[in-house]
This record gives sequence, C-alpha cells and structure tokens, in this order.
Amino acid sequence: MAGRVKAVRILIIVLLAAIGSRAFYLQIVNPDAIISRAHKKFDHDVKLSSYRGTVYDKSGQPLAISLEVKSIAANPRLIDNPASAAAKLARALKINEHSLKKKLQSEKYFVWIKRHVSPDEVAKVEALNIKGIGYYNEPKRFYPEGESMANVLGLVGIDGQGLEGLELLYDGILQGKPRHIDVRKDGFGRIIYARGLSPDEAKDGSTIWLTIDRRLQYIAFSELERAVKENKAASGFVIITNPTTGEIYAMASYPSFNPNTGSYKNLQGHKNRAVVDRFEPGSVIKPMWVGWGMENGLMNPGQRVFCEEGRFTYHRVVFNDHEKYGWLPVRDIIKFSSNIGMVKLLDPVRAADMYACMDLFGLLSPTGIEFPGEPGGLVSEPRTWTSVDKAAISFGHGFAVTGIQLITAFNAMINGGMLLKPYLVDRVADAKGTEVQHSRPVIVRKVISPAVSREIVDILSSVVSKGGTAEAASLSTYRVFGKTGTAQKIDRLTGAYSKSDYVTTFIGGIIDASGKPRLSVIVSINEPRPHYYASIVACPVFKRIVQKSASIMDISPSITVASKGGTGNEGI
Amino acid sequence: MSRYARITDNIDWGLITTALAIIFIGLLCLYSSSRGTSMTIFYKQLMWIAIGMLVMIVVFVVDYRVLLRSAWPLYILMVFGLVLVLIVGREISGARRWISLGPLGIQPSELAKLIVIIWLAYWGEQKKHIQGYGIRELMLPAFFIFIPVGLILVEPDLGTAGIVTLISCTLMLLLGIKRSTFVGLLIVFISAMPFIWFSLKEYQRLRILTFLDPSRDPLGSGYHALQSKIAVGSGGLLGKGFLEGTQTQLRFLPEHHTDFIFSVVAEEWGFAGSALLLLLYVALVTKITQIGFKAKDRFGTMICFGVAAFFTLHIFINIAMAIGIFPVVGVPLPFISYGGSFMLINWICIGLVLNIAWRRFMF
Repeated sequence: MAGRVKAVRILIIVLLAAIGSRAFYLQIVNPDAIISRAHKKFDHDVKLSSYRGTVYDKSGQPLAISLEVKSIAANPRLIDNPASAAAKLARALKINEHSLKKKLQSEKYFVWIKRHVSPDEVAKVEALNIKGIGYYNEPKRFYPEGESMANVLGLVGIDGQGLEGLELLYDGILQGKPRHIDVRKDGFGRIIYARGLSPDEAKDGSTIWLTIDRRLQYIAFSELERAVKENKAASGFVIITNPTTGEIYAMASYPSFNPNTGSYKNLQGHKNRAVVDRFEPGSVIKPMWVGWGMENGLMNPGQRVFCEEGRFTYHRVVFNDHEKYGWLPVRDIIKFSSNIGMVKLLDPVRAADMYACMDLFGLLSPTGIEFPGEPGGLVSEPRTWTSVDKAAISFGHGFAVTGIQLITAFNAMINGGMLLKPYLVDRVADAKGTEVQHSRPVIVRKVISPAVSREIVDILSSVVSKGGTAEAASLSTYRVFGKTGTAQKIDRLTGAYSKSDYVTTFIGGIIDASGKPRLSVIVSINEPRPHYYASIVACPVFKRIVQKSASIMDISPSITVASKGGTGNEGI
Repeated sequence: MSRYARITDNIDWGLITTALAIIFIGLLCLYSSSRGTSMTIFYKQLMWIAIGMLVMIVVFVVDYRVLLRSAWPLYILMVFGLVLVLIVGREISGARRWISLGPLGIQPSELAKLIVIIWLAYWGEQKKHIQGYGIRELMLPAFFIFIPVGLILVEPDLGTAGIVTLISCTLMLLLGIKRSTFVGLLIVFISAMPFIWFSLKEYQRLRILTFLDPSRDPLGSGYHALQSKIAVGSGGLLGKGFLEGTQTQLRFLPEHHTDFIFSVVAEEWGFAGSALLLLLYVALVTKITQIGFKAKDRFGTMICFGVAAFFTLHIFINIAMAIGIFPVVGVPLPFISYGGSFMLINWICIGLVLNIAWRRFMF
C-alpha cells in the first residue's frame, strides 16, 4: 500500500503545482494582456460636443450662431403613470400623444420628449410637476438672416451636425474637436470618477467670416423674390461679385426655406441654384466668343457680317433673329444680340478650338468655389458636334453651365483678362481668435489681354445704351455694361425646345468714378410668364439691385452732370 | 490532569493552525467582497466557523471507529437526504440543492461527499484481505457509489457529482486495482465520453464549450471566467492591496464570495497572496496524507486519503476555474468560500483526521 500512498500524494502535489504555475503565469509572466483587457472593461470615453463656431458676414454681422436653449427629456423608469404623463405632456407641448406614450412606457433610462423648446413650454411642463422629467441645455443654431442666406449656409441637424451648404462643407472646422473625458465605470455602469480634460483637448469650433455682405444679400434676395413672384416664374438666382477679386458679395436663390424652423417640407427650396443648377445660358455667352476671337485675331470689332434679314438657313436648319438685321459690325451683333451674326462669325472656327475656348474661360470644370456638390459644365466632346450643334453653341444653346461659372467667365472678360477663382470665405479664426486662414484673390489664368477686355466692356456698354437689348438696365449715375440672354428650355415631355419655357438672364456690372468695374451681377429667372425677354424680366432686377447696392457700398458715381454725354471709359 | 495533558500533547496543532491561517485569509477576502453590500454574509460566516469548530471537537472526541458501525446508517441517511431534496428542496436557478431547516439551508450533496468517503473506507476495511481488485469485486461499491452520484446529477449539480466520483476513484486506486482491470476501465471510460457529452444539459455543454473558447460568449457563460481571469491577472506580484480590488469592489465579478473567491485573493494580494494560500493548502494536504500513512488501521488511512482527495479536488477545481484552466462548475474553496454546510464539512474532515492522528498509538 505504501507505493500507492506515495503515488496519490504525488498526484495531489502535481495538481496543486499546476494551478500554482498557472497563477504565476497570469500574475507575473504575462499580466499586461489581461490588464489591458480589464481597462477596456471599466475605462470609458465620454464625448462632449464642443461649441459650434459662428459664421459672420464680411463686416462681422452674424449669419449663423449657436445659442443655448432648453430641451425636455424623461427617464421612463421613474415615471409612475406613463399614460397620464403622456397625455399631459402632449397637450402642453403640442406633440403626438401616442408616440410619446410609447416612449414613456419603454425600458430605457433616457428619452427625449421635445428638443429646443421655448421658455414658455418649459414653464408649462414644470407646472405639470411630473417625476422623472429633466431639462437640458442644448445648443441650437440660429440664422438671423433667415431665408435670404439659407441656400448658401445650409443648416444643421438637431444634434448640431452640418447637413447642407457651408454648414456641411465646413462641418469639421465649425464643430471643432469634441471634448473627451476618460471615465471609470463600475460593474453596474456607474461613473466612479472622471479624469480632467487636458487644455489642448477642449477645442471649440472655428469662426468663419464670409465675403458676403449681409445688406447686399438682403437686397439680392428680396429683389429676386419680387421678380420671381411678379413674373410668375418657377425659380431664380442672383450672384453679386467683386469682378476684380472674385469675392462673392451676395448669392441668393429663390425659392428658399426657413432654416430656423428646420422643416423639410419643400426640398426644392434647399437648392443653391447659383452653384448647383446647370442651364443653357443663351445669348449671355456671345461676348465670350467675341472676346476670344479678338484676342486670337479671328475677328475685330469693326468687322461686318450680313445678318440675312432675320432668317438664315444653315445646313438645312433655319435660324431666326428676333429682329431683321442686314449688315452689322461685330459690336452691334452683341448690341442687338443677333444669333445669325454669331453663327456666321464662328462658322470658320473649328469645333475643337471653340471647346478649348470654353475650357479657357472655365466653363468645363467646376470653379472651385467653397460649396458642396458644385458641378462642372455639361458640354459634349467637340468631335461629336454637328455643324448645327456648333451653330447653336455659338449663341449659347446645346450646352449647360452654372451661374457661378458664367459670372466667373464674365468677370475675366471685364476685369482686364484674369480668370479669378470665386470665393465665399474671407477668413477663418480658431477658437482662441487666431486667424488661421485669410483668403486672397486667386488668378487661375490669364484669358485675354487688357486691351481686348477694355474693348469688350465698351461693346457691353453699348448693349445697355439706347437701342441695345438691355437699355432697361441703364442707370443715371453709373455707367453700366452687360449682356442679356433668353434661352429656350428643353421640354421634358417632347425633348424639343419649348415655346413657352425660358431661362431669362442678365449679366452685367457698373463702373465707378475711377473707371474700374466695381460690381458684377448675374440675374437669372427661370420660366417667367408671360413675358420672357431679359429686357423686361431680368434687367429691372439688375437695375434695382445695383442702384441700392452701389449706394450702400458708397461707390462714387461715374456719371456726373459734367461728364454726362462724354465717351467715358478711360482705362480699366 | 495527567490524562488531560496527554490528550493535548498528541493533538496535531500544525493541522489546526494551518486551517486557521487559511480561514484568516478567507475572512479578509470575505470582508472585502461583502463590504458595500451586506455585512451579514461576513457575520454568518464567523458564526459557521464557530459552529464548525465545535462540531470538530465533538468529532475528535468520539473514537472514529464508531463510524465502522454507523457506515450503513449514514449511507441510508445520505440517500434519504438526496431523495428528500429532490422532493422538498428549494429551487434556485433551476436546481434543487437545498433543504430548508428553519432559518438554515442544508445541502445534502455536501454531506454526501463525506459519507461516501466513510462508506468506502468502511468497505475497504471489510475487504482488506483482497490483493488487487478486479471487475467482480468492484461491481458492488460501484453500484453503491452510483446511487448518490446519480441522485446528485438529477438535482442537477455536476460539480459535486464529479467530485464524489473522483474521490471514489482515488480511494479505489489506493486500495489497489488489478492492472488489467484498470486499463479496461480506462478504455470503457474513454469510449463512454461521447455518451456523457450528450447526456449533459444544454447549459453544461455550453460551459464546457465556452471554457475551450471563452470568447464565444464573453457576456454570457464566458463572463465569469473572463472577469475572474482579469481579476487574477491584474493582481500582479503584490496585488492591489486590501479592499482595493476593482473587479471585486466594482462588482464586475459575480459570485466573488463563493465560487470565485480565489480571484479576490489574487487581485488584492497578488501572486504573493495566491502562492501563500497554495502553500498553506499543500501543507494542509501533506499533513493529512502523512497522518493517513501513519494511521493504525486501513480504515483510518482510507478516511485520511479520502479527506485529502476531497480537499485537493476542491482546491484544484476551484482555483483552476478561477484562472481559466477548468470549465466553470460550482465548486467552493475549502475554508474560504462563503457557505455554512461546506464550512461544517471542512471542520468535520479536520476533526476526523485529528481523531485518527490522536488515536494512532491507542490499541
């Protein structure tokens, strides 16, 4: 028996030694693996959202600002009688009783009842004196300019995340860095202690100043709204820029939406048409061809073209002018906006060269303005163009561009020949107020010479003078230049050009006392009825916008009593 | 006076001291793990220690050979208790293991561990002329062991059934089984494994699968094992200190005062504490086997080795479970885990061993 006794004793020792060595391994040899696992279990990271940065206009007026408001929440586990509580709360807050009851009957520890409520509503709920109801401060985004800036600024969701427009594009820098706090929790999930924030971690959002002038924006939006309503149009947009820098002073779309109510009832109104809508520009494109043609020696302003008395058959397709013209010099082709003149002027130019010209003026690619979802132009490859396509392109049909592309190309023609990148953001400062970005004009490329540019401005001035298509845009105090455009829209049903739907555009600017172009404006009205000519629809809008803007901006008049009747335009 | 002196002289004080040292560690852990919830657990345990020691004295005083005569009555009492628990037992999380006796709860399966040792020792004493047991000789004890084991399995209490079986096997080996019989039984056991597997309950199978791969259910049946491993591992060399164990104090670890109390030792006292505890256990078990070796009769030897096997299996399975090398089964840690019946059994075992040690010179 002694041998077996020894064997059993050895067995016992071996068993106990085995667990001893395992404990040694766990505790001494390799404790890190298991300890890091333990930390995962009880160390948690709590995120506190930071203050969302303010967006100002150029002069420092707030366009989008976050303010603290109250939100009402409940802990359903503390509510004694969910049904009666739901009924009382629904009445006080004007919310759906059924869905509230469901929320209050849930097993959760936290549900929102209504967020972003008014002080009145808080008082009403407090008066109900229901156990388990809590009030929380939450930031809510306010847009003091309301509808007029809504399409550009976009809006944020209920948790403060950018959803559209600049709020979306700059969400990262506006939001800042959320604060993180390390907390330790016990086995029931209760927080035991929180480690302090290190100072660099708490970072509020940056502040952005736009190039927008809130006053010009208001003028642009209200005049646009008036024009769309008066002309029973579907929509429209206005852009006001500084043609010598590329700054955007105003950018309005209509219809718009009220960003302060955050309603999504009419998504149509959420579009920033000036940047994202493409349309056939029509005659406003004509000065570009002429400027480019003069720059490259293909045409000169005095060159005369026979305009076929208003009816011209080209490759078995009939082209019409709105008036009958005989021989016209190039400048008058622009002044009277003769389609036949343009077709004949560009007849000898190769399609590939025309395409290159459009590329040169930035009509093919997006301008790069700070806005989400900006498309480039819609232009087919030149090798696919038929002669008729090419003819149509010469007077602005058969391709589509955006408003921002048009005004960018236009500015290049009138500012001395520099294609400038348009921009909306003037400067950005971080939460401590240190300036981190200050925008400067960016020259994309030189497109024409200053001499040709001067010539173009001169021709465009004639458009606004007596007998020109945009006579209605002329002012008594400033010399005005510009070009009208009325493009037939494609009928969605037939696929052919519609006889009743038009896009009516005016693009132009004013010259101040120093002889330099100070403002350029594009006004585009979509589907006006019954009148569709730019002279009736778009020119008066332009005129009113420019008149008011110029006085607000204190631009010195270029037409005085003494200079009236003079030739003007001394150097750009 | 001289007779009294003789009694104390031959008492194995080392054994008692070792047990008391282990109890002291256990009380520290119990204090730590019941702090913040209910201190009644701690005071109840103190009471049971006192009761246990009184019972030990009674067991020590009565000559253990009385048990030779009471082996069968005890056996019948055990079977009666095991049947009774199935009928009137309190059901706690799907198992009937407790009989209520007024304010106290009794676990007949705990008593079964002890009575099976006594009955087998009695049987070995009866058949001590046999040299090397064969299948035929083993049939009878196997049958009488199977009855309580089967009843415990019905409760169900897999851990206790396993321990009773393993104690029985150890004692059989000690008695000496023929080599051919031993090999044969081993083959039968291995080939029966698949059947055992499929006779297990779903949750029991799940526990074993989870033991093989704890990550398959980290929040369910793998949770205990994982939390316990975290507790043990985070103790390091010297531990986090008394009352500083986060796993315990923060209640990540369930059952930390009963089956997973070793984690508390390991977390708060580190490897130093765990190693000290293990050494105390080794000392305790070695002492018991030494006494068994020197016992004057086979009955005493059998009881001592049965008790040694009893302690060793509990220590091994409990700690192995806590450090993740054994599936989670409800096996308490001797002298440390909270629980009245078990504390009582522990002290009865010590009483028996002291009894055997004290009477080895008396004929």
